[in-house]
Amino acid sequence: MPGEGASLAGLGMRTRSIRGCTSAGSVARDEAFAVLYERQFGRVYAYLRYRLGDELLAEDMSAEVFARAWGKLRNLDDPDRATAWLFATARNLLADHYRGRPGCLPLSTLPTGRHPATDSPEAQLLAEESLSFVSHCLTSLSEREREIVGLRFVAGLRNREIALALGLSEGNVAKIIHRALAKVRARLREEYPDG
Amino acid sequence: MADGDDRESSRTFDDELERTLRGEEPTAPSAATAEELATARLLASRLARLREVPPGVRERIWASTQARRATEARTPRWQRLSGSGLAAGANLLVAAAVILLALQGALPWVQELPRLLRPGERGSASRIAFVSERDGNAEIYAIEPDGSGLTRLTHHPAFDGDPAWSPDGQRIAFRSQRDGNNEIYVMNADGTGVRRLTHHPADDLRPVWSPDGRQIAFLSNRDGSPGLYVMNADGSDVRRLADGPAADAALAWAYAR
Repeated sequence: MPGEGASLAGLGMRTRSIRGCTSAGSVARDEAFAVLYERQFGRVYAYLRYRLGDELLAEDMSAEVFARAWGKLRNLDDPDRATAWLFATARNLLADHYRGRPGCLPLSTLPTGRHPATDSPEAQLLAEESLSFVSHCLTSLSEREREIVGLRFVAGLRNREIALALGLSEGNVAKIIHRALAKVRARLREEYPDG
Repeated sequence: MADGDDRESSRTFDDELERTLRGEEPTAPSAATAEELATARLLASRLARLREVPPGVRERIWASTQARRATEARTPRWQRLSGSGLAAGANLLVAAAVILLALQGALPWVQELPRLLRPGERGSASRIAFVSERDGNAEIYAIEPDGSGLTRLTHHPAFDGDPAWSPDGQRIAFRSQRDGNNEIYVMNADGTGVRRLTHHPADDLRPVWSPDGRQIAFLSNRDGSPGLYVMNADGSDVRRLADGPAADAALAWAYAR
């Protein structure tokens, strides 16, 4: 996840330019890019998986987001702007992907989040129950509310980052989150009237 | 409420939310805020699984990003002019050569240049077309042999399958049910320019290009029984060549004369 700060060398990352360029500028650029990737890939991937409900497609689209970020790196020094740019790009790719297809958020296909290699069957079952519960709660939200819930609770963006990525005011983002939480709470009350 | 106050209260709540999501105690919320934070905590815990990244994903996305960067000798050619060192020099040389050639009237060749410089579209030998249902229904995708550069080529809720590269790697013939039954179509290697070649209420499938790229053979039951047909690459002049016993027969052109 973001901020894990795992070492770049651990990935065996090629911090040298692909084209074999070894000037100081290009090495610095590669390193800046690796840092950006390390900070952001987890949240971008998590968000795309939440929106797409397909792990392979989410990987593919994440790679496209970062490949595009490479060309924009000079403008992404500021972490807030970098986050906003990455998620705005991810949303553009999603919009392209869903163009012409109704029913944008594939809630029925929320990824199970299973890690079969590592999880016990009980853990898998619990995970699936959690997600089907969430799917149920989220169906009462508007598309925009689900989107912002994804950005805040899955990708872990702060309100000001969401505001930048979506071109909204911070106050507006906060209001949408309040409204979404109220709807989720109402749905919970229906399910568990005793609290 | 003034904009500033609005933002202030939004930030206060956002900070509380952040503390809650990190599992820390909120500072001193009002009763209403506390209830809201409890909902947020529940929602976050239920969504926790979606925040986890499975093992290997970090490395795979990184590798795929790098591969895309490598093939990204594509559009931002002029941006790279402002890059550093050798790359900029090489780009200037290419730009100068392009201008010279253009001045010498070599325009048709120059127009081909961007295409020639794009590794992903160089030819069929370097890319693989395949059919996948990863988006919910069968679509045609292309990928480099090293697993990079995955591209979706068809976007249609109906079945698309049977991809076949033209010998020059510029086009892909395929079968689609987008008009109601199996017909042969052709598109450019990047998925653009889809054209329907066959128009028959019977099923047409399994297109195969002739080695010179001028004809396409396919299977059809348009005459009541399965058979082998051939047509020009533009869909004209359909002829039945032979009766085929099975619908799943495979076709191959001979390259030797």
